Amino acid sequence: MLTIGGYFCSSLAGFYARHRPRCVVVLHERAITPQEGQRALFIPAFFWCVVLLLLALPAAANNDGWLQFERSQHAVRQFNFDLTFVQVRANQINTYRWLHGVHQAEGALPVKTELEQLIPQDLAGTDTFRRGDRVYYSTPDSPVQVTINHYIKELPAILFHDQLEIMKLYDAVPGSSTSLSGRTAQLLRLTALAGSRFSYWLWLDAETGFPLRVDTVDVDNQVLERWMVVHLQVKPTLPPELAQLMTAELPGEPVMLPEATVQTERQFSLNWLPDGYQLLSQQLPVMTNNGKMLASWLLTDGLHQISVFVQPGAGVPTQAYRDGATTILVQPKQQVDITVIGPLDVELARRLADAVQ
Amino acid sequence: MSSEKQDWLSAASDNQGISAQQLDSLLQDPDLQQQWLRYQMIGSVIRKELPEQIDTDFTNRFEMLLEQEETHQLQPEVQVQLQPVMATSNSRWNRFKTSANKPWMKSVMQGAIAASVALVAVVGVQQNQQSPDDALTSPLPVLQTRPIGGVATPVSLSQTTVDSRFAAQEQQLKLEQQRRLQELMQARQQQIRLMEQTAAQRKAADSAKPGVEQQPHGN
Repeated sequence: MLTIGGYFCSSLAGFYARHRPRCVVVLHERAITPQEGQRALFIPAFFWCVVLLLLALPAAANNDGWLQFERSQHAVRQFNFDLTFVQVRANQINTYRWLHGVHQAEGALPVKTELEQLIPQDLAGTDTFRRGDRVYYSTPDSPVQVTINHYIKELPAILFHDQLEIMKLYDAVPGSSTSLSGRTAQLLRLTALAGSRFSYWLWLDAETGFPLRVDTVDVDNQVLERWMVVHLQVKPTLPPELAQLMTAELPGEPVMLPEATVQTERQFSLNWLPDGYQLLSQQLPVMTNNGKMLASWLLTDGLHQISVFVQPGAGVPTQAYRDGATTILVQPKQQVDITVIGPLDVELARRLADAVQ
Repeated sequence: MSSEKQDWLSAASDNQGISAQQLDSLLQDPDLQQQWLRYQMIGSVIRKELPEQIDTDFTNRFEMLLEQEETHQLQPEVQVQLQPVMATSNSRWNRFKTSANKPWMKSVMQGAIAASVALVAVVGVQQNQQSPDDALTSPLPVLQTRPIGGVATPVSLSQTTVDSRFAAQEQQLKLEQQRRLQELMQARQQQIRLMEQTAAQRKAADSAKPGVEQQPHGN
């Protein structure tokens, strides 16, 4: 890159040297008009601009990974598509159909609205819709739940989250390109800056930048969870299934969440947080059907969430499970059971559980 | 021995480099060689590379020991005695080996191998054919003691043994635990779904409140 830049620089300098004297001669022959003066000023300015641009090019090459990433995030937000993806974990595979489109309102104001639908294919579960920043969860035998969300949380957060925040946690390194689902895919490694965080390996369609596969890997590059597109159809217009969603009657506003009851959380406190995580203030006391909840916290680093629950003890030994990239740790302590759920390794989860006082 | 000489020698023993001339003089002068040995020894002592006890004239003493060692005369009779023994023990085998290369012996051996293969084949096939016949002709059990597709239940007055009672309890506990975790996973999912809304609502509430009330929150 540098050698090419240098070559361009020298050729441009040569060009400049050849043309500048003629300019000067012209200026000497005639009286200087304002336009001529402007041109005389413009050429060196242009020259320096080009030099600066060429110098900036190698720096931009390092950013290539992030440019690719931005392209894929843009694709997920702006394309009209109909795709099927699978979510592969250690002992389960789930298939979903994911429809997305951008609706452009007719009229004087070209208001764009994102429409999205997520349909589980192999289990009767929750149908999820999104219209703009409202996400609707429709479960059989219960009313539709409305929430404010900028993306469907069940999709890989890495594809939707603010890139600037991701850049604080990860380093983007482009890898080799391979063939994936009959397309050329470019590997992009998002390597965690802190070793305790899991890394992401993204395979992006070379043509459109669309993410075709997202692997969550641990420090030893062991794949913990795989999200993979098995069928992708990019459409020129809004998919017809979503056109109905634009006009569908859906519950209007989300239910206001009740204010947090502060005294329940006072009993227990969390005196340590994993690096980069901060506590989110919870307004809603967490409900379970029969288990009493003594305290609960939600921690976030912007991209991931860790939940900590304190419940009365049920006389179980310390247990740790792993569900894909999510670790579940149950640790009894005196008369309570502390449960930590989140994308972190068991040692960190144990440390977090120990931090509950 | 001048101090100049010693200087380069000392430097050389510390891996400082040596010129060709100096190397030549070192190779020719036994005094210098002695000095070289001494420098190496000093270096080793300083670097603590020597064993706890150094035996400096080990080579001299070893030389003395070798001189004191008795000289043994080899006895040629021993070999003469061994030869007839070898001849008697291997004579038959040797004769067999020499005859093995003869054409008549080769054909006999080939015949023997072919015959043994044929024998094994005939006996083996007969044995193999017998087993399926056995399975077909053996009579079905008149009384089925084991229920089909299940395990035999112990016959006793109480339906459950102590062991199975514990197992059931354990199973119950495991199910209970599983249900609790399922609930927690759902609670977490709900937390995450409502995360953005909670933040938005909190922000709205904070901006609605007057500044005085915000102070304890900040602390």
